[in-house]
Amino acid sequence: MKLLLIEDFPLLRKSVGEGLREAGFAVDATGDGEEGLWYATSGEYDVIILDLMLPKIDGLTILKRLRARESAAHVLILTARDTCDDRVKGLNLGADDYLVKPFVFEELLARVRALIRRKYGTKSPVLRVEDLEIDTTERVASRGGKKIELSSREYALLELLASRAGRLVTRTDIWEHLYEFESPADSNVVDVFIGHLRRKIEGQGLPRLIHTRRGHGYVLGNEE
Amino acid sequence: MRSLQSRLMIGTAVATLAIFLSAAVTLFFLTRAELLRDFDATTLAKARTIISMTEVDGDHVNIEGLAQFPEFQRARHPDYFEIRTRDGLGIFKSVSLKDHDLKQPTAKQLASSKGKSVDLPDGESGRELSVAFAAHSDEDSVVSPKFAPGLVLTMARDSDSLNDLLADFGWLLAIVCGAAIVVMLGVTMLVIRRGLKPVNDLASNIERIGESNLSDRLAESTIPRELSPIVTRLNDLLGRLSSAFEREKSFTADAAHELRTPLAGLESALEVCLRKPRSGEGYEAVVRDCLDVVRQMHSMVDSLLLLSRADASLVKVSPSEVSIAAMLKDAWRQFEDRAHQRDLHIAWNLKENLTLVTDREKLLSIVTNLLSNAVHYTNTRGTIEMAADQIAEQVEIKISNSGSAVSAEDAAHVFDRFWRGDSSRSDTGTNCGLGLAVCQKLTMLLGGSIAVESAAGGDFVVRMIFPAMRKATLVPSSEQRIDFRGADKVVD
Repeated sequence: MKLLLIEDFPLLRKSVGEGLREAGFAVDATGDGEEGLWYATSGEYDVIILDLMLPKIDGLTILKRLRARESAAHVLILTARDTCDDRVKGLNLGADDYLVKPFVFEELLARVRALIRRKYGTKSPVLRVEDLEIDTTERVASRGGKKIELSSREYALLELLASRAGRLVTRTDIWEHLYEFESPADSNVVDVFIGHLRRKIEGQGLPRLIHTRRGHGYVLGNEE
Repeated sequence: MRSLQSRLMIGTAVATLAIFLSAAVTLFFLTRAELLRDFDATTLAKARTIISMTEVDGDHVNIEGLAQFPEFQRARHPDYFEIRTRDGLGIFKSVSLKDHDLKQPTAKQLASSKGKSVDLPDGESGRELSVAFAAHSDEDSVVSPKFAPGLVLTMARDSDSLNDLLADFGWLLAIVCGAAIVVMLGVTMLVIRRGLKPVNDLASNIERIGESNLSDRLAESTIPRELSPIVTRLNDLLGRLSSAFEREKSFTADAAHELRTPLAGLESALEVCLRKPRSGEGYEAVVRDCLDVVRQMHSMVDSLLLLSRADASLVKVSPSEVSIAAMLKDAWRQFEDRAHQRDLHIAWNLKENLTLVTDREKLLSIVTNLLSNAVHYTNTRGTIEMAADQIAEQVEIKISNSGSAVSAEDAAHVFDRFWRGDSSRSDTGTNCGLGLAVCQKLTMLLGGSIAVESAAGGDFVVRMIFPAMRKATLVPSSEQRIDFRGADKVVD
């Protein structure tokens, strides 16, 4: 899953960005509003973490423009203002959640995950596809009760496929949701990772779970 | 201090009483005098009539037609008269007089024929006067030599009805006067109360205004002219107080918000760091980052303290002779490297041998602050200019840099606390929006003034003027406390 962090205070941006990456997310981060808006409108993000006090363009304006373009990203607002007015304003303008600074990082993480579940319509933190079980909180996948060892990237890919279980996920989708902006575009990489993933979850003669749709993409589990 | 109302009421009550009473008394006595004069005139006329009817015949005296004056004979409340010679020898008495005598007039009373009040023989009160006349007789008779010197007729008339009239008049006057006094007191009390109502209203309106409703103002349209300067002034003061409170409140709120952001940064950095084991370098990096932010917060807190102390007039100033050029060069030293890194060009335009008696430490602080801004905000390869000159007894210092991000309209706001060119809060300098506010306060402390001119993309110019301060005399660090009230007006 990919996140966009728009926060101008350098230490906060750096540490939250790092923390989120360590938690398995692909994170693009920027310190100014103009750049942030550009990122948001040129890329696919699952959650945008938006600070309200930004240079050049302020957070609420960015939010308004995002919603005007009908961006699908869920937005979580970060701000040092804790008056009810601002919370209500932010939510009314289209924000999905609100967190007041200073905040506990674990809470930010939990809320981001909740927003992702909401985005993919998966209510439970545990995704189940046939006999494959993925605990999104612990970031652990298991099949038939046996834990599967996955790298961070592999896990992220599996989680993405599982969140859209039964539906087509194109290579572009995968690229957009798993790779940060700066990564060089390379669709082969996706195929390679699918290969790795297949080996790990379908190894030892287990039934196929990841299905290829030639020319389009991949589907996890039976197609709806 | 007695209340206005009681002072006014007592004053008007006393005046009312005095005036009305003296008027009544005067009226009474004037009327009495008139009535008596009138009465006496009647007595005199009667006396003259009787005199004209008196004829002397040898030793005797005849008064013809006395019957037309029954009052001299009647039993109740009679009038009296008697005729005597000038020497006092009795000649004739009215019937009413019987055995009694009327008092003899003095020469003076005789001369003026003035009436006087007497007790009549029958015990009643009366008025008496005397008239001197010459005896006369008809042609047939002879006047006795006894009568030659002249005769005196003394008449005393019963003034009972006059006295009754006067008594009635007196009572009437007393009653009317009393009533008038009561009504007057009542009316004045009412008028005074109504007249003072605006004052009472104003007092209760003022009482209503407290800390919680400082935005209220006193109505100026319904105020009487005499009170309007008070109300205008009060409203003015309330306005200033109210905006001072607002500034206080928003300053405190802003200060708290300002601290929250770096705190959030620290908290997240440390939390994320602890989420999993890190290498020594990893921890070191986090610690350095956190230390930087802690220093920023420290500097901000110092600025805040200085500003609040300056607000409360608690900052001490120690003047001494300062060499301006040396001080400016001193201030610049720490920025040389950074300026070099950013490829900045520095121009010096200092008047030679310029000195000023002022607080060196604070002046250095101001200049350092401004230079820090200049070096931070100037465009790469831009120019910074430092100028110092003498204007009359004062020193003017100008620090300007090219590549200003502040527009001409915003130039007025640069001194606002926590104001930054952009609405963000991420200033990585040590200023956090307080730098210029601190410079402004310090400048005021030194008795100077500071102003900014700027154009977006053009030059950002800070111009300061400092007067000479009085040097410290005996004590090394003098305590020159400078009053800040109204100091906000000093900045041009």
